[in-house]
Amino acid sequence: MAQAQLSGIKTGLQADVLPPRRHPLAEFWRRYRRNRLAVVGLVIAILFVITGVGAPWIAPYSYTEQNLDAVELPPSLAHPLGTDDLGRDQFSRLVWAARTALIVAPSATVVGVTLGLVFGLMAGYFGGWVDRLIMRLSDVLFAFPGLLFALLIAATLQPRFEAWLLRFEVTKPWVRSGYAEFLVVITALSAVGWPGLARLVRGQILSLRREPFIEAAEALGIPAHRILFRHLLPNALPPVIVAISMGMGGAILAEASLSFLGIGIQPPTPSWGAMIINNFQYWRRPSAPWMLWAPGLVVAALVFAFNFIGDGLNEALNPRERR
Amino acid sequence: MTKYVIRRLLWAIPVLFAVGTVTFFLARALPGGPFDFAGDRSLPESVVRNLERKYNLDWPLWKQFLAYWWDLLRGDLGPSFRSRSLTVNDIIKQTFPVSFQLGMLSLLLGLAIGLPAGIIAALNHNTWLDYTSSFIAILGVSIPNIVLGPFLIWLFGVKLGWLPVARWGADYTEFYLGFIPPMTAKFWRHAILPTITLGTALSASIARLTRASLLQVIREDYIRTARAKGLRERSIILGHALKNALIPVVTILGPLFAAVVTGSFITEQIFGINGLGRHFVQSVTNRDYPVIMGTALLYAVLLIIANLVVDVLYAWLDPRIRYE
Repeated sequence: MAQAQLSGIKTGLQADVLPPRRHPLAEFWRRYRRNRLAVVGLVIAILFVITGVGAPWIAPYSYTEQNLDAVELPPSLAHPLGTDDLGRDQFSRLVWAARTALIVAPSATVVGVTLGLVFGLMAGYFGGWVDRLIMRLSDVLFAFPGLLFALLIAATLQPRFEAWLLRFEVTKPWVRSGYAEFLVVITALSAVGWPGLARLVRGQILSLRREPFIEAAEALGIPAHRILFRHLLPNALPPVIVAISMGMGGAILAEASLSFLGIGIQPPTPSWGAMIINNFQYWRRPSAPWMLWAPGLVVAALVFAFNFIGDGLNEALNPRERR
Repeated sequence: MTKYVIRRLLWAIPVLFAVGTVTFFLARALPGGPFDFAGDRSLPESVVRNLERKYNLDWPLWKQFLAYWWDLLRGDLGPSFRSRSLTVNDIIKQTFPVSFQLGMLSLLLGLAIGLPAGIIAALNHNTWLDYTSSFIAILGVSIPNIVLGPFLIWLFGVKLGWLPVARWGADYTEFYLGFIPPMTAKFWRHAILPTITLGTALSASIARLTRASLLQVIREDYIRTARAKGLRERSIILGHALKNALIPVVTILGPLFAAVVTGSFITEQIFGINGLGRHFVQSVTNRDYPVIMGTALLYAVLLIIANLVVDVLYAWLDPRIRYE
């Protein structure tokens, strides 16, 4: 009798007082959706992924296919964005460049973030000489302007990587198909990318370490690695996720900038940055403005999209932003 | 405070040494050498050997490394292998002021547009003014300078023909105090487009941060107290809210300065500006080792100083922060 009453009270409480229970993911989506521009950003990002994955089916021509009878054409039905100085279809190159960006930017972000997470966690949790070593290393990298360091690394690594890949039967074709350059750019960008994130994670861990729940876990004798990965990491994650999203836009831009400066993805592999630099020197061509605006707009739209996704994630994940 | 600054400056020495060492060996690991080509043609083997002997490139690497630091300690950054009539000191003296002007003008533009825009947006929170300026700010943050620069050249240089699009700093002039340019119409006409290219993203991110930070400060109790005392809105905002709202803005000035440096590589390349960034990019392509080293070290010095200034400003703005 008493028990029935008690459970009755309980269900009454749940129905009247507590907000409806949602799956955490549904709750996340409800918060994320409120920022309309973040949804727009997500749509742009999804289109980007589809274009990159489906490049061979979307692009009407191959990115190397030349037609020397149709050089520097303005846009037409056959060539929606015209052709370049070698008679290659610009629209197809634009689409294939999405694949370049889709390979380089997420890989560079993932490697950079993993390094940043590992170093940040170690510095924040172990403190002492580990912390000092990692922070001093990041001091040195902070004194290097990022693009300058990436440029040097990319230029230095390029021939070494290729020579190394040529030694193995499996990886030999990679060099000819241009994948070796991808590896070079990914390495350069992730080497530059980790210190900022490591500092962010370290700061998070340092402030979390003083929380009672970590003290409790330590008092219970839970081993360090378990505290790190089960208790500290999940709580330090939200700002990291936001940083990853912003970092994706940054990586796309950095790849384009490296190619813009002529170091990075080499022709004929298409890259938006290289398309911009190739085309903006020749204003008098009938095809010129189109060949410039198309890659420019795409890069701008993607940076824009990932900025907004970051904003939306921040509002959805940050408890202080809850309205 | 003085102690803190001194300690930071002392720490800069090993950091600079590390930057120099990494750059030295990365540069030497680049394939090819500085004398592989003269123009389009390759040089005969014997000429290359002689040139290498002249610049001590036939020494063992460790000896070259030590010699570089020894010269550096005496203020000699070495000769340029590519522009053989110039030393690296000459190149820095001629081109750094131009890069400095570009960076400073862009930072000023960023602050001049970003701060008022952020303040106006925050004070008119959730009105059309706020929405419009916030939207423009996010557009500004997202437009990369590799896109904005060519666009401005196309519009103002090619279509309208109003402004010159290249060769800022090409004719070397003496600068006042080493970096202040003569304020001629020619200077400004050359400076407008590159400054906008580099300054837009800065003003946009400053505006976003100022808005967010001021919105947070306005909700604080001490602002309510100030209102309750019957202070005029003007003095509440200017005297109480703004100084506190600027603290986070100051903290990102360090990273922003780094962004200006990085952006200047690209902007100088786009507009053909005779600045340090362009020389750095070219020196990597040319394998001009002393120029690579000199520019990398100079950038490192600048970044270290910028971060130190930001930290000192930070402590000055927020009395709760104390460096021991």
